[in-house]
Amino acid sequence: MIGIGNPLRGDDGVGPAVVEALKRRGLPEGVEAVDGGQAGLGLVGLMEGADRVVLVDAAEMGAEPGAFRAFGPEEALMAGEALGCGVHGARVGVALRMAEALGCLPPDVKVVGVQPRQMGWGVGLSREVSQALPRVVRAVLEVLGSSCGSCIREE
Amino acid sequence: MSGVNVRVEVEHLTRVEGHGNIVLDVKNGEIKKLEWTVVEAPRLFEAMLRGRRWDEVHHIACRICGICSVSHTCASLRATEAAMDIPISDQTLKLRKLIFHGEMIQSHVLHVYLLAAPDLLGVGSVFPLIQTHREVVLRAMRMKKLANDISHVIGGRHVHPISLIPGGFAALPKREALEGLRERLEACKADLEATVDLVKALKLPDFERETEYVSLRMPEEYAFYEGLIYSSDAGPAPVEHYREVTNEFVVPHSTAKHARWHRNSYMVGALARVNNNYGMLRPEAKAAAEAMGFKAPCFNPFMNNVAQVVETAHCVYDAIAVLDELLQKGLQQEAFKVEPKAGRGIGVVEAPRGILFHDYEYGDDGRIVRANCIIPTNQNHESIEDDFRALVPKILDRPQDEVRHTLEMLVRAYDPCISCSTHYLDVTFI
Repeated sequence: MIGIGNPLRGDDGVGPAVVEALKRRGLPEGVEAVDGGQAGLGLVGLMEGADRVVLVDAAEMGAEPGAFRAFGPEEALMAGEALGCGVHGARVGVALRMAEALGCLPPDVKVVGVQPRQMGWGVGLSREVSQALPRVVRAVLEVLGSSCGSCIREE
Repeated sequence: MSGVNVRVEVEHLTRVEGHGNIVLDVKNGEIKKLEWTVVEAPRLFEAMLRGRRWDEVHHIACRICGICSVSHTCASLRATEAAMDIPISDQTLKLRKLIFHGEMIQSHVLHVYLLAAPDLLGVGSVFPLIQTHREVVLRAMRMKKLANDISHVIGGRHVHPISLIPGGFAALPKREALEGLRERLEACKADLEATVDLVKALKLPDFERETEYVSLRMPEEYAFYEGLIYSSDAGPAPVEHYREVTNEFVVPHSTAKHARWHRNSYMVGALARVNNNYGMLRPEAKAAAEAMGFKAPCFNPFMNNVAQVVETAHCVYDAIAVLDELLQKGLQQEAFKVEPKAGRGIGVVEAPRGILFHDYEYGDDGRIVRANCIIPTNQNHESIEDDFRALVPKILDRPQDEVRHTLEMLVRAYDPCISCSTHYLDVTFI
């Protein structure tokens, strides 16, 4: 599980926040939680060798702040395409597309996107995203579970 | 050149992070407008650091950038340690230098291979590059992964290292992990050679503009982590005088601050460092420079790409040397205790893109009262414009598209990373 985003930019910090929450809760066996921060294309290397990857990132989905959903890499890939190739700031879309093009995309990749309220400079999640955090964590565990069988410990 | 009309407008230049625009307007052979515009959101790091405790400041600083997080972490730690007179051990110094080498390698490899090379190999971006030069991109990713793994082993995270703290390390790497890195760095020498071969075959635009080069300098080593400020025009200056170096000023067409010292502008980054400190490079890096036709001092800003490869060679070989020293001695758990106190400290390091300043003032409670950060990219903006002004008259006879492309390449050669100071590229999922 890799959390992406910058905790200095409000709700963009949701990825790293989920990593922290998962670590506090205890990780299912065989699962590693990685704070990917602003890894950019480093994400390609972070995913390498994993059987399954769940990425958590802030995602503008036109939904209510704190809303979240899991989707396959194809939607994120489309986002990468729309972006062009500013690879310094490459996020999930560009990195996934690159991994795919290089033939090193892990066989099972899911993205859990969380709708941010704000991503301006400032430390701390909005109330909405903060309140959604436990549900996001559960959703991430479910996605991991549907991928890795019965390795989930329920709360 | 009278009668020539050229209009170039590049909005949101690709393959640089953040929002930068190029505007060129030539009427009748006369340059009416020539600007490098950076659309920068207000910089709030200083505000975010204010009120923060001495032992959390560097964790915030390390999130400023995903490419230069080690640099920001170390500049921040050094500012805090200077403010509170916190000593560090030789072992800590070596480990920090090692993680610094990792950052330099990953940043330079990313820029040379994925941002600059597509121009030079005649493809539009990294994706067609994967089609035409798959092995080249795989090599780049292999080198970048190794460099990020250095950060993971030494700093506890692949990016945004977490175990570097004021006075030392919260956790030390395991011996086997260090040995593993050493082995992979050894294997990386072949990739390095292939990189030199690739770059020496590239044709860079032929353009020179001699300017003032500013970097850190150390008497006996190639300076990344510490040193005095050094100008190719005026020699050394103490770090306490950094504001007299940067002289930040505002220009009407850009929201990013510009900098100047002894001339209208100065250049920072790999080219400035190699120019100022060539003699301190490892012999393997000098050999790489010679193989690529790089001769210091070099006044061609496009050669910044080549200087980055020279530094990559230095870092690979020096990282092996540092690892050997650490492995030979064995890592010791070191006890250290910090007594927070009031004071001011300045931390200066060489980030991959150039000299980086963090300046903190702490109150009695060990919390930041005032902070100032000056990033390398902002120090280069005026130099980019001066290059534009020197270059454009020489290429005005060329087709408009070629003029535009050459200007884009010039900006990319500087490897600007505006993300330090501007709106982050917000990804929209559909």
